[in-house]
Amino acid sequence: MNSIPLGYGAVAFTGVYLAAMIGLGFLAKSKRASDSLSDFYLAGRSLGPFVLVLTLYATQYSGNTVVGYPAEASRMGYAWIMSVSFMMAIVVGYLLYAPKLQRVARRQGFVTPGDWVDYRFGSSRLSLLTNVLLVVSIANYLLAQLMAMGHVVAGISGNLVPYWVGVTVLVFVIIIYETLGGLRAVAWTDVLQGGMLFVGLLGLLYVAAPGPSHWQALTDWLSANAPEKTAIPSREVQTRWLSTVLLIGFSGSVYPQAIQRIYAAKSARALKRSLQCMIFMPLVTMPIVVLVGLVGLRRFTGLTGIAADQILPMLLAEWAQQSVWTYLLAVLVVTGTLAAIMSTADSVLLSLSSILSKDFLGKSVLAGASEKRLTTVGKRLSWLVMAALASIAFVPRMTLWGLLELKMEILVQVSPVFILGAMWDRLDGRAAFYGMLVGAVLASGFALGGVGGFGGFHAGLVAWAINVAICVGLSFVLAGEQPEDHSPARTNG
Amino acid sequence: MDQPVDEPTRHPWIWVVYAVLFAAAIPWYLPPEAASTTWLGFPLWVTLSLVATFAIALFTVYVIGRFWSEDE
Repeated sequence: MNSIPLGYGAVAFTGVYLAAMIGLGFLAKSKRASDSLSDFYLAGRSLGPFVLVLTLYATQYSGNTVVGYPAEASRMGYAWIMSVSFMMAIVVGYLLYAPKLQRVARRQGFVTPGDWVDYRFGSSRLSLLTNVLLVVSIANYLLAQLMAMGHVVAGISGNLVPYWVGVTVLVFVIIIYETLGGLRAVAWTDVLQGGMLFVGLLGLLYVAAPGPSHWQALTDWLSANAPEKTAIPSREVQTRWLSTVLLIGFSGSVYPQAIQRIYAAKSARALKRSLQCMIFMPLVTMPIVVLVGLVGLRRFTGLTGIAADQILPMLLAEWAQQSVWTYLLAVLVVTGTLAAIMSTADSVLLSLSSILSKDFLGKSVLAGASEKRLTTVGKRLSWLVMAALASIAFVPRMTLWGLLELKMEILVQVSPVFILGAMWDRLDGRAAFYGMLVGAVLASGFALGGVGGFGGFHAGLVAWAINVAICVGLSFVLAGEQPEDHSPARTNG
Repeated sequence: MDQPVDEPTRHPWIWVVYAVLFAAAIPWYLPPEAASTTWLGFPLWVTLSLVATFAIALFTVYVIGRFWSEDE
């Protein structure tokens, strides 16, 4: 392709959208009440249910959802409807610990996920290990978003705007509004981005396969030409389905950016209302994504691996040529897709910056520094992190889903300190440390050794089960002994 | 110490219901021949999975509303 498939109208619309993001950044800056960490990283704990649900939605549904998942659906067929289950499992996972964490966080003034670990266990080495694993996981996640930005821009412009230019421009926009307004800017832009994503997905449904007769035609085509895509999943795939529900449920619910939204809710009621809406989002999002992947399979048979990540951009480029309406919808979907990616990237970046600034530097070289100083350092770290990750993103080596899965297997190892730590008063900090350490070493070792799983279960989930067993078993063994640190663990809530 | 407040983890039956609903979303209980039946344009097993996840959503709305205390 040698022309811009969506023309200058799309370029202009995207330009207006990007300008609006920066405008919201300035607006958020003007509303900042102080230079405190909680004002910058938690929007002053002021988020109501409307903003919360859209910021949770925009953050949770990302470049992987819009670009990676249709590709996965084209590979796996209808079995990828499992994505509805595992995205719901994230919200169900919140119910295991969010009620308690929200109460304690408000009372204690938590800013980062590590604050809970400090408070609950009083163990500096457990906090350090937790923060290292969180940073490794979400840095990986941020990298996946940057790659998705480049793919979308390159695909939709017929490679006239190269992948690396797309990454660079969008990285700059994100970092500008984020450093201007912190979570306030991120959440407000999420409202716009979440709304655009939602409308864009409805547009996708309209163009791809709007009703039962279209779904039937697609199913009939698949049954005739690729029957394995409509078949009941094999036992192996069913086991993978269960494993993915558990893996994503326990890891996705402890994303640092999700935990910080629990802290940022203005009340328990606001958080409850937002989760009651969030639980329906997989049902209105993932089936559309699966349909798009299968329509793409019918249209471009033979796509595999990294090329399959180009399904959505290729479909949009084609639809844009059909009529004025489909052109406008394609423009909307493209911008909604960029919005989905950017809204995840900005939230992850903000969490990363808060952990690096408050939990790493604030406990070492900047110990005793003022909150204003830590906030300023956090902003500078954001620029450094983005520069480092963008330079890695320029040379993509894995599919988006591959990146996501690897990250989840590390992230899930920290879930016991949040979930079990909130549910079970007897969980000992030493047991949690050794469980997490063993889980993380095993999960990394399996990944590096090319061990994908055991009996259909993700290797990282098996490592997590060992992690939990150590947490529980060692807590019983250590019961009655003195804690390692002077600060007593707190379990009330 | 705080007064105990209500939250979903205090009710084990809630998690049994979740286990049943998530299990129902996975089509392990259907014979392979069921793949040829369609409902609402999707293979029957896909539609049944979507119905099970819709039940998870409704149940979650109930659990959050009924078993998550707002005492702060």
